[in-house]
Amino acid sequence: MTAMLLSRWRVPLIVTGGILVVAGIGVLIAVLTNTSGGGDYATGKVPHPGATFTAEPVKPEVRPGDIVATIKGEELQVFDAPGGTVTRTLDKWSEATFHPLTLLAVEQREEAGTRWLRVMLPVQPNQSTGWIKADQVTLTTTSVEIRIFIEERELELWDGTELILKAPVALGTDETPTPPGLYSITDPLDSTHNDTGVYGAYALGLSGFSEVLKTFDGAPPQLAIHGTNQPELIGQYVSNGCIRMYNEDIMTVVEHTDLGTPVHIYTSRKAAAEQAA
Amino acid sequence: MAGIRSRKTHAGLAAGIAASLLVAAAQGSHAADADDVTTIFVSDGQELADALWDSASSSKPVVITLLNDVSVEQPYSYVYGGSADLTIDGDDHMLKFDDASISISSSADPISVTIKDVTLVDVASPDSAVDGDDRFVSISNVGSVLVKNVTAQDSVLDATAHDPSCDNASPVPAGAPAGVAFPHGVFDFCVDTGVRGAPVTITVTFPSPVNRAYKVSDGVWTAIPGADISGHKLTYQITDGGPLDADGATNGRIVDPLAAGLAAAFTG
Repeated sequence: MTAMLLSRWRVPLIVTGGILVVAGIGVLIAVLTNTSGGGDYATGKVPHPGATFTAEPVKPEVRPGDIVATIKGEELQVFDAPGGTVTRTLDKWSEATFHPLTLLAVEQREEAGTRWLRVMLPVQPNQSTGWIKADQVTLTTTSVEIRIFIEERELELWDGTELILKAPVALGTDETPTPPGLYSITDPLDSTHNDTGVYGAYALGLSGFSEVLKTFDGAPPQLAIHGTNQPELIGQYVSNGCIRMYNEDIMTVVEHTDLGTPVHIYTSRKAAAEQAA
Repeated sequence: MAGIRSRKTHAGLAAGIAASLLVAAAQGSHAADADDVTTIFVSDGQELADALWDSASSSKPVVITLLNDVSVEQPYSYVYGGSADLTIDGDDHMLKFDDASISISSSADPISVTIKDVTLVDVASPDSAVDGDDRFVSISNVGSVLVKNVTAQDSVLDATAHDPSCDNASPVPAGAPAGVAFPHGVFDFCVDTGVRGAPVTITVTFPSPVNRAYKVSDGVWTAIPGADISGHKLTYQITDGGPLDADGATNGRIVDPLAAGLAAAFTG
């Protein structure tokens, strides 16, 4: 096992003194603190997924995690703009494992006395957003976030400036690549009582989807971070788009995360740094 | 006579759904007869006992509603022996069992029994198997049982301390099928059909939607064939002595460990 559990290791925060986006700082820290690259564990088909991705990256104006919105009622209306028209209605329950609908806000505005939130939508295409009324949801915040670097085949779990876990992952093949973008945890599935399945001990369904598969097993091709029953494949590009981890590692992630925890998937550490800049 | 019991296997998860019932009228209680149903409101154990007893002669479906938490205790007899369908609506209150049981049976044709919106306390607790106290709900000669939004507290059963009236219950396997979660735990249903080989329709409503249903067959969890799962609601039919009757005998009793599951199709 090459994963490093760094529970008490704190990374110095670089203070820019400007209005630098906090997410950017986080990415910069991630880049600066990485010295191992992808060479610590077995390599499979090497870098990196050659597919192009259709979704335009979202540029949050609110740090992902500062505003996490959980549905209050039976359904939630989504608008095209603050005070605009309804474009879709979301159900109370998440699509895959029926947890309360929880959304990540990336922008907020006040319009005619009403607080509006622009949220990431758990729908296709990836990176879809829409506006909701803040009084229709319960608001919380989280300092925890997950960062995944495709080229390095690594996952990092952060709580603020504290790196909790750095672990190798298996990712999508060239034909079924893991799509970069900003997502959140929407659909936990507990399999700790029987970890012999393909999702291992636990799966954390995400708000994103494969961009090449139309369906998977009769359902939308939803991405997830999950354990595995094939640990020998960790560190390789072998999945249908999901992020596979050792079962011990996914349980560490589960311990520190919740519905709405942000998940950043970057093509590489270099790309993450460029995006932050 | 049959007991409906719950067995929760995931202690950290709320929302156990299990069985039970109750209530009714007499002094202080009041009844309202609509054209097609008799409704009785009760506020304590005596009223509940009276309501069950008195409503047995009703020709219309009976609805007994709890006005507050109610204790089922001696010296009252909690018996319903009518021929009309019975609903016990907990109205989100608790029904506490204290050395007493509730018995529901039909005096004529099989009836439908609905138990909903109630928290059952001390129902068929392990202690009851030790000291012989009756602390469970028994239902016999019913055509269907609906259990909706019922939570059982302090009523965890295991193989060594279960309701003796349901002692053919098969052991429940540990865990769940690979890739499946049991968010609402595992439940036992024991129903006396009143007629050997008779079918019973089971409907259970869960606090959140599910998409799989399992029972034990040959010691392993097996998907229930023909189960109708629609959001929160699971409906399926069991026949005494059929493949879903865990005691395997055509004896007028259906033993049916049940688990509602969640499976997902992530891309993997």
